[in-house]
Parts: sequence; structure tokens; C-alpha cells
Amino acid sequence: MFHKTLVALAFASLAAPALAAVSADEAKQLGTTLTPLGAEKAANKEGTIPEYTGGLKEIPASYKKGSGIRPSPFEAEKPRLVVDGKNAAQQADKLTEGTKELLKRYPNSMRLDVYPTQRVIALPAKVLANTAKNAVGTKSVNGGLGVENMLAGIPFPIPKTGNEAMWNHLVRYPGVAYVQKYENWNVDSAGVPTLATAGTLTNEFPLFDPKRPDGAAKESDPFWKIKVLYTGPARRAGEALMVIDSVNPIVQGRRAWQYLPGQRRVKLAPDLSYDTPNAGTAGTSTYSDAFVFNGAMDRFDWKLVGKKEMYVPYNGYKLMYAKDLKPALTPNHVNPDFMRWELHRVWVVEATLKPGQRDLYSKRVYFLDEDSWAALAADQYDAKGQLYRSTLANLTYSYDANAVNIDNYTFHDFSSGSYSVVGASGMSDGIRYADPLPELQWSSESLAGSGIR
Amino acid sequence: MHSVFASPVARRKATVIALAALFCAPALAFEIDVGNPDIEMRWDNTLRYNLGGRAQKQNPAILLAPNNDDGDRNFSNGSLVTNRLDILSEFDFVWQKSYGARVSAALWYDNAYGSLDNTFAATANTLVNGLPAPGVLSPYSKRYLKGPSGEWLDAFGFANWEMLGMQWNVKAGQHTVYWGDSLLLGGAVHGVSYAQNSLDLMKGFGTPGAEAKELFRPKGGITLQTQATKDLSIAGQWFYNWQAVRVPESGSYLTASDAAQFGADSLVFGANPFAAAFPGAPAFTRFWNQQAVAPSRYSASLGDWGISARYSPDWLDGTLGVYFRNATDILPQTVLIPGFASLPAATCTAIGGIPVTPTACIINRNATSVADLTQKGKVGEYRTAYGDNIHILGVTLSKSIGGVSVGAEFSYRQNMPLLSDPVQALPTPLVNAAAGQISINDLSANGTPGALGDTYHGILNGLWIMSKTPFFDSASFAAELTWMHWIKVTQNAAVFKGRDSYTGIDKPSRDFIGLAFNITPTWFQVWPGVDLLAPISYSRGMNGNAAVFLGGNENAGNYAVGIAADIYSKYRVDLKYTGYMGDYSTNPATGAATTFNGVFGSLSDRGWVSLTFKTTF
Repeated sequence: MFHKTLVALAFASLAAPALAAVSADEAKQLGTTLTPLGAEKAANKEGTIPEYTGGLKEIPASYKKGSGIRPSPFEAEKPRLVVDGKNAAQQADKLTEGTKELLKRYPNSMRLDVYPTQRVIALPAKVLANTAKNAVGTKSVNGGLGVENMLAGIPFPIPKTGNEAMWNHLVRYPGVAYVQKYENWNVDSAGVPTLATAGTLTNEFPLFDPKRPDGAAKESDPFWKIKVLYTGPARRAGEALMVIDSVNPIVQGRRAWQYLPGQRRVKLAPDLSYDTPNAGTAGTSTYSDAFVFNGAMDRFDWKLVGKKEMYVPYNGYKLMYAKDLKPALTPNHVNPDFMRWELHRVWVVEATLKPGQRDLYSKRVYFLDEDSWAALAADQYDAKGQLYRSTLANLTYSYDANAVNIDNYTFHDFSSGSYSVVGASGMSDGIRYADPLPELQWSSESLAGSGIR
Repeated sequence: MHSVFASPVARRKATVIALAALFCAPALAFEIDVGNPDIEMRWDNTLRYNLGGRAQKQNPAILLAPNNDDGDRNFSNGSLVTNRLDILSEFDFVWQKSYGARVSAALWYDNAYGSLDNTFAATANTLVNGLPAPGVLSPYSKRYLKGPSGEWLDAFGFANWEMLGMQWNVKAGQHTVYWGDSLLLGGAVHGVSYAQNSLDLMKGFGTPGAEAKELFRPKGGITLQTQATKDLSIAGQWFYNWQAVRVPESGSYLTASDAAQFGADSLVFGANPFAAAFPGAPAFTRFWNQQAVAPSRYSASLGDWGISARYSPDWLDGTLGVYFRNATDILPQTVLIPGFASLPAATCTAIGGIPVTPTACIINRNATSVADLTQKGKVGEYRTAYGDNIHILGVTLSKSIGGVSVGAEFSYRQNMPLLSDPVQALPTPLVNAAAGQISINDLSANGTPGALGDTYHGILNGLWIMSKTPFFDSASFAAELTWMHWIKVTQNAAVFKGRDSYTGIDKPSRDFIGLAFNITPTWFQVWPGVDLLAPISYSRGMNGNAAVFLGGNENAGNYAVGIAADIYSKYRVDLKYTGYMGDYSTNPATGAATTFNGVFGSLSDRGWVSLTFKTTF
């Protein structure tokens, strides 16, 4: 590995290397033909995707200020189109492989209620301003595995590579910090739902902390900190884990710790990353599948394939904030009554396993929302090239915090016929945006201090 | 509690009800909502039911060892060795996420101890009215082996607060805090945490699936921890009480020695010269146990204490810990108080004893009487002793290397009790100091007269998870290497088993290395809702004999193989075979096992199969 110093960076724009930042001319599109985050501003030809007019303007009246539960701004809407087994073939080019597979396997129960497209995302002004600066200043380094000279905003609003697009997803502005009580449920192939884990998670994105001095992130700066305290199932109550990811995983790899009540000790968590089965979903998905994708990209080659219009879950307030999740956990797939689909333009990023690398997945295809850069879906293939697992992220826009949230997603395992609903929060008090925790609370030893068990 | 289990019918009903509860328990954890967001309460109960049967024939050599045969004889091959219900109940109360209390209790009942197979009175260690009674448990053994009984485990209050810019946490009451980076049992003996808490080896050896939090026996004290900076945390603790290790008591299927510890009534000594003259007297003489209950304190000092500092700077990408502790041992040494010796009558009277015959003398009237000696074969008494003021200075490192969570420890101990022969406490004129004997007047209620010394200990362990291979979906590995080295003997070298003149098979070597590992491959969703696991564990002394009790011996250890099913992330069923291995020396004339190299040698014929159901609700 080699490091570029800040001095070297100053000359970067003059030297214009192949994977350099974007040219000033290109960057001028941001705010004109492109939105500040790099999405196409205009509506599409058919009018099914409207023009971007700055995002959601009004917080719904039914929202109680300070509450963690967010009602949908579009309660009254009705679906404009239903895609089911009968017309799936006609809509095939707008469906992810995973969605197609579900329609094929369960033509009698699976359907997509497609609602009018609502381009709600409106990130804070500071984030947008930094994004404009990042457009010309930020560079991907170490073959796209790390980011340099990133201010607190989207790093690559005009990405040139698959890696750069995925960095936009990793740094998507989910807020500064929030606390969420969630439940993860698995529904097995016989249709029986089981609570995989329940817990409280604290998510922080230190780069966006307003108290942090303005300036580019250093290579070892953390951009994501997460702490999870399990409260269920009963035998896991008291377990905790903590993960800290930095801006350049080659320079500073993931740090992870686990607190096991059985041992009353904080232990370095062996590889809570890559394709290690995620205990939080009882092994039905891997750690890198959380939040559709997280972690280092070094095992794969990432290609930015292009843009497509696709039906994706969007504005999924009903499932995310469902007070009672049971009715949604129907056999084979989530109850279609709980899902809201919309037509959006998405970036398609394809990852293929590098030769010589080992991973559970040989190919992973991601679909990133143009308006927020959050990954909305993923199709993943096994070593034989067959569709193995798919993710459908239930994006909601936290209008009171101007933040994107994809913590709630559905994960399908086509080889076992089971699926999971991860990160649902309606049964408790939803997502509360808060001040970041003091630094001391992010030390590994602090995991033990909070442990009563 | 007793009345519920009085009748066999009631007992059967209780087991059935408990089993039914296992499978009908509610899905969610028991969080008690009082409507106040500042208050969090939860009450969890873990039910475990163990059914076990002996799968290995009794070894005649072990049956011939008078102080190791009772547990072996109590359970013939194929018989039920455990039919036990354990309940761990835990209650937490937290206020404003910062203050609160925790109380937990364990309850148990094992029906397999309702009837025992031993009928061999000659070497039975349990005494009823002073005479050996085979197939009977002492009240102490009965409480812990059979039940129904229970005990409080955790009972402490805690507080978290910020002060002077630092985060503070205090726990006061009966609690467990376990320092260092050791992983498995070997690590608990050789780590910086040695004797920080007592261990429940009865549960550890005998109840597969017992969680570590049940094995660490909570101790009364105060622990104060502070996160001084992001990188540095400091802790101090002081204990106001102490507890000896809990072992499978005399009469248990897994008794290591019939004479240990508080449930044992006697130690078989030798042929009884009075047996012919007094009909009804036992065939063998015995020392009687002075202790019927576990002592609650064992140190003259104010109590055990310790301080630690843990440093996790970014550049290290790990944690470095430094510890100093002053501890009282949890593992025992033995003191023999002979009451009888062969002395000419004149010498006997001269030292203040009672001549029984022209050559037999009662040298210590407190240790036996004429009646007990002649009619019951009592030749003296014995008890356990625990070293106090053990100084432990240690350094630990935990770091992730290549995806493996690695822990390493190195520690130095002073006043550490070393593996010793029992120390004899005799009337002053009879003391042979060169043989390590002490005067009965010098026998203290604190500390131990046995061998003490300075030692080094080391641990290296790793924890890692492998993801999918053609053989399994996921597998977790835990491995631990332990090492110790005895430097010198600082007290009573004459009884130290490592002395030159000792030739027993269990003679400590200068260095010892042991290895233990657990491998658990997992297959997810083999049937809907069911994960399968195949846990394997293995532990063995690889080289040498450790100079401390339970430290490990060459070729001694245990292993278990099994399969388990995890159903709906809620119920766990394990089918397991557990076996033990260890060497022993035999008497060529009789074929009896005489000296065992380590605890597991005497259990080497105790292989057994167990079926365990476990759930938490």
C-alpha cells in the first residue's frame, strides 16, 4: 500500500490521473441538470418519474415532534400499478432478479403494489455544499478501497467507478447519530416466524458531527460507528457488539468487539465482517449483507454498469414502523400489503469475486438510489453462478432529520426458501435522532461497563 | 421447596410440568413494563434438563483405590448418572440506564442420586454414626448433588456515572468480574484471574452446557471501574468474603477424591489393627473430616483485593492490561492431624498421650478417643487449608491478528500453594521438621502449612470464526495453550511433590504445557427453523506436570463430542459423549491404582452419554 500526502493531493487536479476527481465542467452539472447529489433532475420520458424539486417540502401533520415513529407522508395514495405473476414478464426489465424470482416462485401470493414515484430526499444544506466540493476534490485511493480528501458529504456525486458509487452508499448521510430499538425476524421455509434478535442499536456517522472541525477526513478517521446491545432472544440478552469502520480500510481495518455476558468480558470480535454468518440474523445472512452492503470492498472487482429505471421499495413507512409486525410475516415473503414500491432511476453496480479470493458470493449486483445513493436492492450469486440471496431495502426518509434510512430490509435466501425482515422498529419507539455519544462511550472497555449481566 | 418433591408422584409431576414448560414457553423475553420509561426490568429463566448414563465399565484398578472408588461404585455401567433439572433465574432492575441491581439464583434437583449402587462398605468414605455407610451421601453432598436445593448467585447493586470527565462504574455486593484474557478452564487456573472468583467445577464437570456465568461463583465485594480516557481504563476491587472451589463432592459420579471436600466424611488410611479384637469395627482405619461445611473466610488479612489498568491506544489496535492482585487460594491443600501412633507406652505417657496397648498410643486426644479408635477405626482428623496472601502480578495483551482474536497473558505469583503431600500436624515432641511436619500448636486457622513457592504462568489463546466451506456453513474455533514454570519453593519444601526424593507419577516437572480447544461447526436451517451444530472439545496436558493443583498433568484431560440442534433460536438439544483420560500408577501385587496423575486419572473410566435440553424464557 502507498499513501498520498496532502501535498501530493494539491497537485492532483493538475496531473489529472485516470481515477482522478471529476473535471470542473462536469461538476458544474451539479445543481443544474443534476441534483446537488448527482441524480438526474429531469422527469423521465413517460412521466412516471417526476422532476426533482428539492425533496419533501412538508412534514406530515400526523407526525408528533420528537417521536421516533414516522407516519407516511403518502397515507392516502393508492397504487397506480400492480405487478404480479401475470404481468411480470412484461415488466421484467424493471425488476431485480430477486423480485423476479419471488414472482416466479409464488405467483399466487407475491405482488408489487407500485405507487406514484415520490422523490422525497432532501439532505441538509451543509451536506449538499460539501458534496459539491467533494465532486472535484475527493479521490478514491488504493484501487478504490479507500477515500481521500472527503468532506462531510457524498464523496462522488459523479462517480467514475463502481467503488466510488459504493462509497456513496457507505457514506449516504443517515444522520449524525441515532438510537433504534429493532427486531430481526426469520421466517423459515415452512412459514414459521422466529425472532432472530432484538436489540438497541446506536449508529453514528462521525464525519457529519457538527462539532467536528471542518476539513477532509484522514485515512484512519472513522466514518461509521455502531453499537448493538441485544435484548432478545432471552438467552442472548446482555450481549453487545461494537464496530468502527474508517475511511480507508487498508490503512485502518475494521475494529470490532463483542461483550459476552457468559464471560463477563469484552473480547475482540473475530471477523465480524465479510461473509461470516451474521449472528444478528441467526446466520441467514452475512455481516457484509447488513445495510445491504457494508465493510471493505477488497474481495471483489466493482464495475459501474450504468443506470436503469426499476421498481424498488421506497417510502416504506408501513413496514418500517409497523406497530405489530406479525401480520407482515407471511410465508415465503413479506405480506405485499405492507410493501410500497416505486419506479426510480438506480445505478447498477456489479461486483465479481477477484480471482484468488474466497467468499460466499461469486457475484453481487447492487442497485443504488440516484436521489440518495443508498443501496435499495441487491442480487447475490453463489459459486455456481446461480441466484442465491437477494436484499430489498425498505427506504424511508426521516423528514424531521433530513436523513435517509435503509435499516429495515427484507433478505431472501433462495436455496433454503427462508427470508428475514431486519431492522423493523415500529414495535417500540422507532428511530430517535440524538446527539453523538461522548468519545469515552466508544472505547472497547465501555462495552463491559454497561454490561449488567 | 422440600414438600413439593416429597413424594415420587409429585416429583414426576414436577418434571413433566417443567418439561412441558420447556416447549410451551412464550417467544419473547420477559421485559416487565411498568409504564415508566426510566425503569427497565427483566426477568429471565433458563431451564436445563440433563439426562446422562454411564457408558464405560468400571475399571477394577480404580475400584481397588480406597479413596477413589465410592463415586465409581455408586454408578454401575449403564446406570443413570444424572437426571437433573437446573433453573437459573435472573432479575435485573435498571433505572435511567445507569443505576440498578441484579439478583440471580440457581435451583436444582437430580433424581439420579436417589439411589446409588455402591454396596462395598469396607472402603466407603461416608460415615453414619462413625461407621462406613456405602451408597449414602453426607448431608452436604446430598444438598449439592441431589437437592432439591438452591442458592443465591449474583446479588449486587451497580451505578454508572460521569465525574471529572471520566466514566465510572461501581458494583457492590455478590458479583463476578473476571479479569484478563483467558478463555477456557486451563486459562482460569493459569491466568491473572486465578482465584478472583471461585469456580463451580461440579457444574463444570458434570453439567454439560452450563454457561460460564453460572460457573463463576459470585463473591461479595466492591469493584470500581473507571474509563479515565478513551484509551485507558482502571479498576480496583476488594472482597469482603471468600469461597473455596466447588468440586464434585464425595459420592458424585465425577468425584475426583472420596475424601474431598466438605461433603466427604473420611479418608481411608490402612488396615485396622483393632478389627479382630472389636467385632463391628471397620476393616480399615480412617481419618475423619473436621469440616462439615465450607468455611466462609480463610485469610487473616482484610480480604482479597486487586487493581488493574487496561490501555487500548489506536496504534496498538488491541488492549494491553496490567494487574496486581492479592488473593486467597480457592484450591485446597490437606492437613492431617493424626490422633494415633505406634509408640511404647512410656513414651506415650511422657508426651501426654493415652496408651491404649503397650505399643498403641493416642497422641492427640482431640483427634480421636479410645472408643472411636477401637470401635470405629478413627486414627485422626483432616481438613483442607487454603493459601492466603498470594501475590499475582500479570500482563495481558489482546489483539486481532489475521482475523483471529488473540489473547496472551504472562504472570508471576508469590506464595502460590504448590502440589504437596498432606502436612501432618503432631504434638510438638513428635514433629519431624525435616519431613515437613508441623506442631499442632502452630496450626493456624488461616493460610496453609503446605508447600508454597514462586511461579510463572503463561497463556496464549485464539478465537476465530470460519465461514462457509464444503464441510460446514460456519465454524467457531477456540484454542488455548497454557504454560507454567515453578521457580522456587519458599515454604515447606519437604512436602512439595516436586522435591528430588519424590518419585510418584504425579511429580511436578519444572515446566508444564497444556492445550485445549473447542470446535463448533454449524449448519444453518438444515430443517425449517433448525440449525445443527457438532461441538467438539478436547483438553490435555501435553508436556510435564504442573506444580499447582488442577494445573494440568501429562496425558491427562477430557474430551466431548456431540451433535446439537438449535430450534427457533430458542431451544437447544445436545447429545454428547464425555470422556476423561489420565495415567495412574498401580500396585503390582494387587493391581490397585495407587497414585493418579492429575484429577482426571481417577475419572478415566467414567465416560458417559448425556442428553440435554435447554431453553431461556
